[in-house]
Amino acid sequence: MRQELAEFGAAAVRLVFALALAGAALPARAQALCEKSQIRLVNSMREITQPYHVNLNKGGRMFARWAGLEDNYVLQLNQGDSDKQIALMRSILATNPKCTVFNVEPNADVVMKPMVDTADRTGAWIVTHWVLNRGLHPFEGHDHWIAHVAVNSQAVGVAVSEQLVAAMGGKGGIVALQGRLDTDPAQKRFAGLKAVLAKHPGVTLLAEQPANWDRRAAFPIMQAWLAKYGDRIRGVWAANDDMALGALEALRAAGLAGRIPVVGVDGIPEAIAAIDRGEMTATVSSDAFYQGSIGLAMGTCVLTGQAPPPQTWAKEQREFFLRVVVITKDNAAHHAKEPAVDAYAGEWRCDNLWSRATGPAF
Amino acid sequence: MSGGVAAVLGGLRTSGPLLALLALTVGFALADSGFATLANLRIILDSAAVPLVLAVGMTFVIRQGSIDLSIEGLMAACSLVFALAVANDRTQFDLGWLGLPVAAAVGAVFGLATGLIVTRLRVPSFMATLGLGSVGLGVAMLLSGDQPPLVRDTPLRQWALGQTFGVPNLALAAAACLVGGFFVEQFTRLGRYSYVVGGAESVARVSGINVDFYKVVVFAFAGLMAGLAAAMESARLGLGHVEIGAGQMLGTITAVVIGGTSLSGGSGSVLGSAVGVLALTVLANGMVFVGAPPHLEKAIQGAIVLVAAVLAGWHVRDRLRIVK
Amino acid sequence: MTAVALRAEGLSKRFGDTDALRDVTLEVRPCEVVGLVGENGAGKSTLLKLLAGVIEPDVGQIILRGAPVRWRKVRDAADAGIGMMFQEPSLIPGISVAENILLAHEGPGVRLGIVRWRKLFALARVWLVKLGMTISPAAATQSLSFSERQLVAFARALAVEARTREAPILLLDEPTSALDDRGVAAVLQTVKALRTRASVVFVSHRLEEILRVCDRIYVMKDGRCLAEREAGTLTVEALEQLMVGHEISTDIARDAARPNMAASVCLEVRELSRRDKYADVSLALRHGEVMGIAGAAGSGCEELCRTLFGIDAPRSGTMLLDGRTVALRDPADAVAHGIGYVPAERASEGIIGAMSVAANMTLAHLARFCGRWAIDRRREQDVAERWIERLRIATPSATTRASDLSGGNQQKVALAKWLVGRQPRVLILDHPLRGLDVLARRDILETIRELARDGVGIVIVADSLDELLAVSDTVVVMRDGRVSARYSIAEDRPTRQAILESMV
Repeated sequence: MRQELAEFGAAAVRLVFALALAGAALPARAQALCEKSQIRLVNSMREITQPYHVNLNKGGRMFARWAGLEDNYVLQLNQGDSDKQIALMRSILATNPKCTVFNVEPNADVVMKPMVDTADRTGAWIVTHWVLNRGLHPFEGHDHWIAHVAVNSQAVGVAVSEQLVAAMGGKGGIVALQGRLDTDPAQKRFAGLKAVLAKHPGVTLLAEQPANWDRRAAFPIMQAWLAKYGDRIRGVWAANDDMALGALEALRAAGLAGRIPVVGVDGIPEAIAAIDRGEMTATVSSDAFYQGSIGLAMGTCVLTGQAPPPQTWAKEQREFFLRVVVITKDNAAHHAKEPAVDAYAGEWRCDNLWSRATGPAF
Repeated sequence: MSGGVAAVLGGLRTSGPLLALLALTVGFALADSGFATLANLRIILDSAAVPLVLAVGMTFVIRQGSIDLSIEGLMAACSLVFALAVANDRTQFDLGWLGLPVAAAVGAVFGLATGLIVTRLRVPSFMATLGLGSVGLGVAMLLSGDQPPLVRDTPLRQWALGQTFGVPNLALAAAACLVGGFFVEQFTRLGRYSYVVGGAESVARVSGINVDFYKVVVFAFAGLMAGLAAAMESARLGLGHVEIGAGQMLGTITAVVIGGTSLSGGSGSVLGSAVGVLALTVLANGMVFVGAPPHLEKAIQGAIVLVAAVLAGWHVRDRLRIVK
Repeated sequence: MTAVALRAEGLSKRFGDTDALRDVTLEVRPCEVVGLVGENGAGKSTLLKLLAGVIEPDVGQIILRGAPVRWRKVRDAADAGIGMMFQEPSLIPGISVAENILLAHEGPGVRLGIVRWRKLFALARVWLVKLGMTISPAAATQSLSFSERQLVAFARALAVEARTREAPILLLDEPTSALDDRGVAAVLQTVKALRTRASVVFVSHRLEEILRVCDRIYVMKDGRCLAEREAGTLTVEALEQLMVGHEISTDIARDAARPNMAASVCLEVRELSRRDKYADVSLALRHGEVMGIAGAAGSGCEELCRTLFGIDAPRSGTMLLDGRTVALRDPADAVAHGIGYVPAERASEGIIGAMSVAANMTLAHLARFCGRWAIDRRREQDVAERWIERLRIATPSATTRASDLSGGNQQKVALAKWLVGRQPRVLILDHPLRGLDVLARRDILETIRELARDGVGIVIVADSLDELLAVSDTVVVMRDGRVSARYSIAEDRPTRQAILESMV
């Protein structure tokens, strides 16, 4: 009898533990905060002319369609103007603030605080990406800031720089095209490059210059560098794919396309095609489709009650690093295909929102 | 030689813009030995090509006393049209070399519309061109859709990136536009009348000149140049892009003003604007050579404009000259 | 040949509240010169503009060579052979003389849109030679003097002859107003010569010229055609009487009291020079003296005036005001020293058309009309009304826009500007009577003399020698930048001839 009781007790404890774990893993059902039809999904980004942003938008739209909220999807473009990004957010919150979810690609580090404050004040919901704002954390009293999906830009920079150095055989000079230096990704990616260079003394940094994330700006800069350094350039590092492609055209004009390794970041289709052709060496993708949709998914889950309110979430569920993918010739073909909804539907499920989290970002 | 041509060349000789250009060139050559090489000269000419084509068109507009703020939008629209008209990854068209005149024609149509709005509806040119520029931008965004179309026409791309006899092809094209523009400016009725319209429009009207007609033609011409410039840049970069004209408007107007064309109209020449374009290109190129931060470029650009403007007005430092 | 080349029938035109023309009927016969006279504001310029196609009539018809016409634009009239020479400078400054003369009708000078410069210059030279001008057709228009420009404008009107096979009709609005005697002679001669192959409508204030050159004369007043006479039957006085309705004394009576020669010198210049303009000019002006400076175009008188007002600094020499040496930095400095200047180009430099009469008057000494915080409008109004009365300025009120006044009244406003504050020490008048009718001229001359009586030193550069002689106490003649002669009117009594000789 005592033996049976013990077994029963152990089984009971196991059951309770399993239930508890299940309870922790499965978000407890909460009160729906909004009528589903009231939920408004807003994607706030810089512009829509670069492929990265095109895919951000596509991802957002895909989610909206999947969730049956296609008509409630709004795209806000600030054309590189931080004030405008904030102003656009405020103006749309004049109506229906409590059921609006913002998925934000910040134009610059400075917009984070004003946007988060606006959300707190109006009762709107916000998910931010990319920027790591020191001292600013969702779990420190910002109940409407659902989450911050950070990208470890330094790790990205390190990853892509290692590809470049490897392609160069560890020797030679490189030139670096930086992004807008008032943004965290630009600074961190470049820091990643510097870190890698420190470990490979055979590679020297000949010059660096910001090119505004834009291939049109990168082209003449690359041309000038080719004139100045000539043969000493054995590799080109760019903080994003668009600039890398601009540099590539300058190389093409000099007859060097495909002969000098070029790396970028973003994983836009054009870059993947270039990698496939052998004109670029590597790129890193944070998966714009995912970034453009996950914030909206999180917000929808909270508003429909399928996920509990954010203040009950664990800290690492509210500020985490996103998994990135290094794309090289080996997997270029695989990533060249246009993604389908099924690939993401699983990750939008309210019980699986953190499938790509790789660890806390604070 | 007409009195006009001699006057223009004489003016340039003693002019500020040329001095500014020389000063910049010498300065950068001293700062970095790699600057004053044949290879870099080619690159400077190549970089100056598109702004030069734009400046030729803009000079005519400003000489006439108007202003054109629509270049960025026009370039965007023409760039998309060009990219979609030649062999590309989206449509089935493959017009090849015809793509260039087609893009130019689209620009000319926009310019024509601007001219009609200014003359028939009596809208000031800065408003009309701002509006039409936005329309162009919108058209471009519509055409661009999700992805900018990539140009796959190899001969065109090779032409845009290549050289003939050591001179970049785009620079040759720009030079041809410059020569053509100069000829029209000095030797044709269109050139003289649009100059007259800029200097004294009411008198021109009363004298029997069909002012409206010439205004429209000038705007169409500027549009044509913008379209051509857009096609050149698209062929070079390999895609039709909404942002292709970004930053060009202010740069073009700055170059034209540096070159000695007064914003109030009735003065200036495309040759002066060419000098202005070269000065700004040398500046940008040189800044990369010496590794200077890019925001410094804007400050120096501003300083050059001031110096050139002061030098241009130096010989008429009449106390009672009206300066607004 | 039709009996009438051009006929205006019942033309009326209204600008805002004013009827500029009322039911005007007028005829121009082939090969005749028709004079058109009238006071300022009588409607002469408006009538010419209607005939030339610059504006359209509200009522009435224009019949050209027997057929009614309606001009939609100036080009239509020009193509039909009607050429007009405007009163205001109507040339484009930035282009060459030839281009101005042939503007909008270059003919063979432009082929397929391309300018053929040599041909253009040759074509233009024809017209320049006709007027006896030696300037090159390639010359820059802005380098010409005012009188040269007026002749170029005349050539431009003449050039319409080449556009039509019919006899052209030339409309000349004050063609001689800015010219010196030499230029006037050239113009009158050309007009007379034109009679053989063209018709001319000649508008002028200078009645002697009208009588000299016209066949018939129309007199206009208040927008109507008052009278038509054969020129041979008229004298200047009779014409004046028709114009004004009463006889005016043309004897501009001069004060019996001569200026006090013992009065102190208010303005003196010694060996004043400005490169290429004038050299070694020395003058002494007393309080209450009127000094007339006579000189042909290019003699340096206008430039001298500008220096006296501080606009252009002299290269060398000294200037003294009431015995103290001054170096004027700019016009503001001159004003502070009590010098006033009424410029020649009244419309552009003398008054601000868009501002009211009162505002114009207080412009030079505005500080005197400012209270603690702002301009004392009431005081401005009072002072303005006082001067309107004193100078007999014909204006509906002190708040009327200055541009709405006629030329003569605008000139009075420009003059008043220097009088409303404290009395000026020196007043410089540059061609003060240009473009004014008889009554207005008399008024201004009267005012000048009054000011002299009050002790103001006055320097006048005037249009015609008659007026200089009528009002000046001293006449200084300049030629080629130097003083060539000095006359005291009372003592030397120089003749017109003598002065002319010193000028040329």
